[in-house]
Amino acid sequence: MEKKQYERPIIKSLNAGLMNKFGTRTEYAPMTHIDNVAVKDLIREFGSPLFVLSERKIRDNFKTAKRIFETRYPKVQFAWSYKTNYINAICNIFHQEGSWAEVVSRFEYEKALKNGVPGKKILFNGPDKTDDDLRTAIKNDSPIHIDHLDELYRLIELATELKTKPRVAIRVNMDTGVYPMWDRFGFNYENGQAWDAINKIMATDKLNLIGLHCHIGTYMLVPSAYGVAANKMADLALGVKKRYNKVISYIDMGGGFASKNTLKGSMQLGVDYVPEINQYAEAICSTLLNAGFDKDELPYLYLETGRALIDDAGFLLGSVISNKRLSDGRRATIMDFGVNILFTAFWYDHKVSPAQEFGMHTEDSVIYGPLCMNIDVVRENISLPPLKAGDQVVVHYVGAYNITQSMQFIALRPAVVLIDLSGKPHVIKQKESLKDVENNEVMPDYLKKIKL
Amino acid sequence: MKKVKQHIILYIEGILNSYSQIFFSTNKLFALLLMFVTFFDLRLGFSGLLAILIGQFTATVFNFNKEHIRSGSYTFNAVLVGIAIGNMYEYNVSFFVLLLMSSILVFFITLWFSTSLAKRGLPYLSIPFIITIWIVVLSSGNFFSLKPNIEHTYFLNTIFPGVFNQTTQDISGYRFANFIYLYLRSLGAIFFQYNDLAGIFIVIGLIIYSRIAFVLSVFGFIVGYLFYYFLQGDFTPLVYTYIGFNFILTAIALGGFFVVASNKSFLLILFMMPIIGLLISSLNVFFINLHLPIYSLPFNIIVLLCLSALYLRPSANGLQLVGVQQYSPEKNHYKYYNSLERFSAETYYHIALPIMGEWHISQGHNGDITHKEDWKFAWDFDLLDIDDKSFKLPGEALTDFYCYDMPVLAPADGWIVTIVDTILDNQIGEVNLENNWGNTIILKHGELLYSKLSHLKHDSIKVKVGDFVRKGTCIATVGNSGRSPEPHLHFQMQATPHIGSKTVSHPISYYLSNENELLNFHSFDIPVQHEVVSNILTTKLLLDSFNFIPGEKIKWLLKNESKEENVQWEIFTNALNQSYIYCHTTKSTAYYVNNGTLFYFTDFYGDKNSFLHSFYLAAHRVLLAYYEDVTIKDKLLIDSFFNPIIKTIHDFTAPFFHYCTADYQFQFISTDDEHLPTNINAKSISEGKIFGKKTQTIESIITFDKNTIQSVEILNGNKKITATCVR
Repeated sequence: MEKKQYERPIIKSLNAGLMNKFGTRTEYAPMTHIDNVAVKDLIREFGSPLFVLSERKIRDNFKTAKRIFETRYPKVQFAWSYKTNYINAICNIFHQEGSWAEVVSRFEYEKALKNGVPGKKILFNGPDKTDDDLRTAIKNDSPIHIDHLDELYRLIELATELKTKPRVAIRVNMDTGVYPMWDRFGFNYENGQAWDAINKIMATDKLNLIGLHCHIGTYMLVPSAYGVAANKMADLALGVKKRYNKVISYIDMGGGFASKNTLKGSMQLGVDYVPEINQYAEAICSTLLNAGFDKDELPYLYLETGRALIDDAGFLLGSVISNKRLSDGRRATIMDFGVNILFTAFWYDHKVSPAQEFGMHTEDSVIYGPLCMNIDVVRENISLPPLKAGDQVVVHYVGAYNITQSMQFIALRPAVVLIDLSGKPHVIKQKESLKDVENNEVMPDYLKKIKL
Repeated sequence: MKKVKQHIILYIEGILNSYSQIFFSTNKLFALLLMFVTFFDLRLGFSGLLAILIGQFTATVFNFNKEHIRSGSYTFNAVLVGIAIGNMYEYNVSFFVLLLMSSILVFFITLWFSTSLAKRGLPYLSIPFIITIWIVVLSSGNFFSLKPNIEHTYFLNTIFPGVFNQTTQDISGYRFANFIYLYLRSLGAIFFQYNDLAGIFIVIGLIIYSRIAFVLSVFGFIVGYLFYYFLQGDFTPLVYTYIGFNFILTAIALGGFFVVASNKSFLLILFMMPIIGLLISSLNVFFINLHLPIYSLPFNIIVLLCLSALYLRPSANGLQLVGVQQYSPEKNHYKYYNSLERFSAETYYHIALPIMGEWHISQGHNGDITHKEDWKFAWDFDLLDIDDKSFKLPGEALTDFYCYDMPVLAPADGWIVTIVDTILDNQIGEVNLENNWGNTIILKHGELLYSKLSHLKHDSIKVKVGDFVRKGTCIATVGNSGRSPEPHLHFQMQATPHIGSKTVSHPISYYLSNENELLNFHSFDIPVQHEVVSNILTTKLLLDSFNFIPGEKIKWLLKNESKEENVQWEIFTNALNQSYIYCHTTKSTAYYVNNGTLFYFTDFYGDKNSFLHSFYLAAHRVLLAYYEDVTIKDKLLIDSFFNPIIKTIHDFTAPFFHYCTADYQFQFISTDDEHLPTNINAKSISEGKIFGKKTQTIESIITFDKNTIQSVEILNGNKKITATCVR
């Protein structure tokens, strides 16, 4: 028989009134294993904190999303949003599944090329593309998604210079009934900017307009907004066909599907209110199918889904550094991970589960990170069983954005491990070292010597 | 002027065909040989020719179809009548009056029999000839100016006796010389020539025309001979009374011309020859009293009886009647076996999968759960995840099942004839045995062809009874109503519009199956249990490139190492709605079909060295949908591939087995944009094999660009031709 775990005693005020409508049970069950690999073993082998990604979950998510769209619309192409998580191993899982690449910077573009993605299958997005970036993209025949008129004019000049016809799409922003409106990217639909840009492209004969792109927002909770967007995109595509007899190859609906994370300030848990991918798919596909495209000219539907495909495949493992009681009597738990590596803690109430069995009692607590900075708060209020120093926890839904947005601030960044389909862990990113951090530093000679 | 020339050609062709049609052929060389043989006796030859001209004149005066004059079908009986009369009477004025009358008569009789027998799908053979000759023979006793022909004064035998005697002597050195005499003289007897040289010329012509016909003629004759031998009859008199050839003509007609030549058709001949023998003997006894010759009467009777029997069979198994007559036992044979391999299933109505994307067949035909007995020809569809589960955990709610509420499409154009949309969806694990089919749509695609989609989601049906829907329209969503413990789609074909009707086996026209991420192309196949299947997504560039419009002219610039050449094609559609490409430069024709998913050639006539023939091989079967790694396979006609010598040798044994085969493979290589291609490269390989060993390979690269076939590059051995489309 295993030794029973010691749990420190707690003092809790007695609520004599009616029971909380959610009952008395704790929020979470312990999470001791990820894909049948013990959290304990992972931390022992790779250290704490540690990012863990499940290949099984990633592939399952992708196949599910692909199936959901392809059983509703005959022409679907996913492009992996590099900014969501661009560890090469992760990108290549998506590329193996047939995903193209969607990048928003030269650095990501080079990464995609290096991963073996053909230039034709890299969608180049974003407002910041230098002449050199554009030249490279043109030479590789990558679809360039134009964000503003200056870029459009530059492209016309570069096309003349390179004597090729770059394949381009324009990014369109629009009112879908969701506010704030993302009108800072691309050309607006309602005020005619989008048509203006299309007319300019069609008038030059220097650019080949092959697609239309939109990205109506992030963490969208209203699927019908996608229906509105798809409708406006289809209207543009049909308009191009009608006015210029030009068939638009694809409509890129961008990303923005919500993951199961819980947004700060929301009443319910994310898992309970976030729409299923089915609902987004239904809104987009039925709109496009019924928009009135010719049977043989139905545009491809491109999707740059990132978050919804990987958030729940990522876990952050960490350990308790210490417990303390705050001045107002609240319990505080200090973890070895903070906002430096869990950037999304700024807008999500991340789900945190203990990684070992615990008793029936819980205590309201604050979770702080290890940084010597006041902002380093992981959860402002969470009900946790009494944890002691050295206990381990698992933070859920961290696959998207955290690894790419993590900061080397105060502490070094942890290793990233991928658990493959057979349950074998692979390090896909080494733990950062002092050498890594100092690698690009240059010390002028006169500062080399110090004497204290 | 041009018109006059065309007319002259028409009548000359008509004359030649009148000779070769006697052997069911339209081969001109054969015709010339036969005509030459008739002129062995100048009088016979002349009266035969005259009879044709009279027949053609009559047909022209009465304004009959010119094409029948060209094919010789009105006048091949006239040749026989002319020769027969020439053989019977001496030339004088009365003779020519008789020839004129009987040639007109035989034309009318031909007309009458051609229409009355055509109603039963039967040929009129040489019945008009026999009837005419009987009329002449019976009447001639009353006309004393007609002098029986005793001396064959103008017979070449009397002019060049040496040649004829030498031939006979040469043959006597061979084994079975007596048999050879009989065989040759029987052939000669068809044209009233009782000599060996005539027989030899006819045999040469016969081999030029058809090797299969030659083998059949020898086989038939041997069987007939042996029959007489075993029954101790006297065979020899049959030959000089012009009756022996009945065996030969019957063998060719039933062994390879009206029936597809095969080992089975030879078996038929084996049984028919003795019957011919019986008929000859019995008819002879009867007609000898009337002083009438029976000539080819036994052949006519047996062929008609036998063909009627074959037509009346309840099912056409075994012996196959020739569908479209190609006037050659070889073509009939190869075409039939090639069509069997290529198109045996393509007569089915095109039915697509009623789903979008890749679905899993959870139960196929003859399934072990519910697809049994009268309902065995049905499919169940669902969707699986990477663990092969059809639901996400916990799998307790309908919405946990991946296929629930997914779109269901119309499998083909059709009318909605029956709808049930009132049954609530079951909870998981429950079944509704009372309304076991659940919510259902039945579509009518044609008489006796209905499709039925069942277990649909309650209240999801988007169509009404009487609606006409197009293939691929979303008509409902997948549900869990009826005898369905978990959401799935039930799909079946049936012959009646009722819920609960018996199912019929019907293939899916074209689809892809995914086996470990490898796509396989299926045409007119039946998806099986656990197959993952999807519909084919066609590519606009390919559809546009093969969208040939009648009247469209396509010009090509051909280049090889030494020269450049221009050819021009034109697209036509004939009265039977068959489309074909006609090459003006080489006067060749290639028939094709474009059904929106595939483009394929069905037939080729003309110059086998033409670029059209190379294109016919290169684009023999093209999938109009860009899929890399999907291979389209097909079989080529042997005679369109091998050189004439190999093919001619192969013909002799073709009815029994094929040692020459020709395979075709088509694959896409690359494209500039896989989602909206403006340029595609494809490759096809045609391979000839003799006894399974590769002997010849033709590789073709087809480039599609700007909505047309831009260029075709053909590599045949070390010869390379590049064809570029010129606008």
